Amino acid sequence: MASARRKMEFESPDVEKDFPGLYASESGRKSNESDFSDDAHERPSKKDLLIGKRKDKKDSKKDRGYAALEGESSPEEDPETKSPSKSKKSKSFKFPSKKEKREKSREKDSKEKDKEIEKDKKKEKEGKVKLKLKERKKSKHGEECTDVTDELPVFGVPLALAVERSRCHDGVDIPIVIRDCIDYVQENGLNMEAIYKLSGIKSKVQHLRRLYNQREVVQLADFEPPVVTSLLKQFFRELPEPVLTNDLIARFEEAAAIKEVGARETELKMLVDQLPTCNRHILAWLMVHLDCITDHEKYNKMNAQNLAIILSPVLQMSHRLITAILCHCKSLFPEVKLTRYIPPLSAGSPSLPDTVFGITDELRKQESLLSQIHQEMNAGYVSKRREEQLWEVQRLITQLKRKLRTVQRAQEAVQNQRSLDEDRCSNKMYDDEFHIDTTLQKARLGSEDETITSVVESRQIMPPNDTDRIVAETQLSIEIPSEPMDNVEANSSQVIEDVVDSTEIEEQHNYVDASGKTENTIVQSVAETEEELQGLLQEETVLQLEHRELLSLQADLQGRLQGERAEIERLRQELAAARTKYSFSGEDDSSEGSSSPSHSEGSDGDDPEVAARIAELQKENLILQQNKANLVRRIVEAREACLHLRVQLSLLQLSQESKQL
Amino acid sequence: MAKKLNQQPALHKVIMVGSGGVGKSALTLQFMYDEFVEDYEPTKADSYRKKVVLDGEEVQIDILDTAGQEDYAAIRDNYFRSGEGFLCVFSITEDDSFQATQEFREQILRVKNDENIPFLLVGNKSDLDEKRKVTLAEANSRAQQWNVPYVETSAKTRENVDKVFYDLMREIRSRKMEDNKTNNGRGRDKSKRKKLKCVIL
Repeated sequence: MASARRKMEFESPDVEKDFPGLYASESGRKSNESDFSDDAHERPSKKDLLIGKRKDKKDSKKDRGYAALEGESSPEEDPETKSPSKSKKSKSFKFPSKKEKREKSREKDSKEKDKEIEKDKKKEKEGKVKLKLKERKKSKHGEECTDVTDELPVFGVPLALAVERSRCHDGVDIPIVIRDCIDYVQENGLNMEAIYKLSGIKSKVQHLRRLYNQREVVQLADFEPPVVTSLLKQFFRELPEPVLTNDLIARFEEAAAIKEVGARETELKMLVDQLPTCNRHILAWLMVHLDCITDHEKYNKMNAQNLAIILSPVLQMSHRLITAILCHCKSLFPEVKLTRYIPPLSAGSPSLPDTVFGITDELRKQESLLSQIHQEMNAGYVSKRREEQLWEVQRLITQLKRKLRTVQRAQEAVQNQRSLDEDRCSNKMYDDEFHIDTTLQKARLGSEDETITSVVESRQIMPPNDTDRIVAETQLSIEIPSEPMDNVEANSSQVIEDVVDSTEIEEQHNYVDASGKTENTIVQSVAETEEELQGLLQEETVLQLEHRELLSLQADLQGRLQGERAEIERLRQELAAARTKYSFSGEDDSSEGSSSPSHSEGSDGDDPEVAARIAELQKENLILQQNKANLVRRIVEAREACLHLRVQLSLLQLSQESKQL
Repeated sequence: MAKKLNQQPALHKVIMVGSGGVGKSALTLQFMYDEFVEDYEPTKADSYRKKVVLDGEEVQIDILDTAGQEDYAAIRDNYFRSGEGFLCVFSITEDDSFQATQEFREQILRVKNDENIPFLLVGNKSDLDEKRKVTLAEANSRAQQWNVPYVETSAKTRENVDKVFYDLMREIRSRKMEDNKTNNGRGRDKSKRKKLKCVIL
């Protein structure tokens, strides 16, 4: 800390030169800040005296100082010894004092004493080389960054500050470093033997600590489980105040000593509720996580007792208290569900989410991130990289907002279509009736007389100029039906096709709906891998596009249907007019109804020629029907192909648009 | 480092400033997407990036569209700091917005501490000439006083929209070139100084 402060004093004039007057107010804040953290460091020592956990604390304090030194020195220490050229490049901000050097040499000694296998050592070296590379990169384009590490660290500050500085942008108020560690162990460490018991390689832990202090994006996956668990332990160890707070920790201990299980649980619950929100959150997450670990005891050999032994000094809780909380974990923190943290997208991310849910979720994260950046900038943490990030996040937010607007607009359109859809449902009933009507007519084609009526009825759909003639020739029409039949076929095929199409649309519609829903539930149970999610999202876009196409098709068909229906109505009226015009219209009317049998009786006897003709026509009709069915099928197929092409086209357009954005 | 710069197109950071409702977003959207948005929705802050060809050279422009309202003044400073050029927009139909440019200019100069920061005074809504409240002479004299160009635009008709962005980018580019010349030495000095410090201590 002392070196950090010295450095600050050293650096600040420079900054002031660059932005004079800018920090007038902020530098004041800055000093407050560091005062505060100094305070924080002092506080535990006072408390130590009171509680008498001195030895324990001393160790951790030593650790802290040690850690702070090592964290800063290790990257520079190595280049000196290994490659002199590197030492030129690396910009040292620090002025290593003798004391520090002693620390370093002690560290080296202890390393040598370590009974590590050669392999491990090799690994460590490799790791160090990697670390060094990373470190150097950073120092190149983030000179000012190191300042924030010292001014606004995440480790070793009061929990509320750590939460604020290392914010999870999805509304879970625990420091990102702890969230990451828990995520990592939940994914990779549950079945690892002696998880949390093994210590990680110190240099790597310090490297990670430093990265988190610098608000870097960290890939824990590149590290071994012991490194990650050590990092978590270190965070808790460095907290100036225990998670259970100085005020309540004694009462927690008392509660844990209660013999009666029920009373113990209620007392603990009551105390947990008294904790500050951020303390309660982090305790809940940690305990639920540890509980998960004990669930896998069979593999990791870590039961509640073992965990208590290891974490007791870290959390400043007695074994009994830890096991008690773990025992009541499920009733103490019923609402906590460990969900994997998905950080806000960065500019390099391939694509923005496509659903309203996904976009608003992402937007919330980005806005949380943006406000954090603003906060930190207002607090005087200004660096080139931060500014870049500010613009980048702002850009992402703008893009998300624009996309949200377009998606919402599209959804509105879909909803409009849906209401149309409902309209259509009733219409469809009518369609079906009509459809059945025509088939019934065909079924009735048994007798000559009925042929006539059916022809007449079918004629309703015929162009008007023909109708008059046909109606006039009703009796004679037996000779000409082949021609009108054609027309009838054409028309009814249209109707059938429409019906087929609309049912098809209905089906696909449902499919889209269903898949949309499952999609959402999948999104909500974030446990899936991101790849899967991406795939599903893409699938969803495709389905949405398909849906849109289908809807437009449906609207088109509906328009046509309505046109035809109007035409039918008109023809009916015309037919009725024609009927009243001719004297036999009354007879015709009755033939449609119950009196038709008598009529058919009379005409049945007429002559066999007619019967033969009818049979012929029926055959012809059959063939035509088959042809029609084939045509309809082909039309449907062509339409489907069209649809797919259109979907692909709009997909391409979308991707191009997003690229342009 | 130099190689990296050559590979990536130069990036010019432009910031739109001006009172609320003068058409900053409209200008930006017209430039970005060739669209004119009639309905007014106050901006908090929006940022856009576009690849453009500036005098035969491919460059990127970052546009930051800021809030005209005072409510967001606090976050505005953070943006102003990183801006390389400013389009200071007012509406020719609204005298208040023209008066407000003075404040914006001062705020920018305060944050950037640079009299010669690339800056254009932009009179928007030139399509509404019949409602004009700010005369060309007035605007021109203020621009002269500041030693900056004055351009009248119409986000609606797209008149001069490209011009203001391209003109500003040219200023930023030439400014950067100058800085490179003078700063190169200084920059090296800086690093040397830092190294020296380390060596001494």
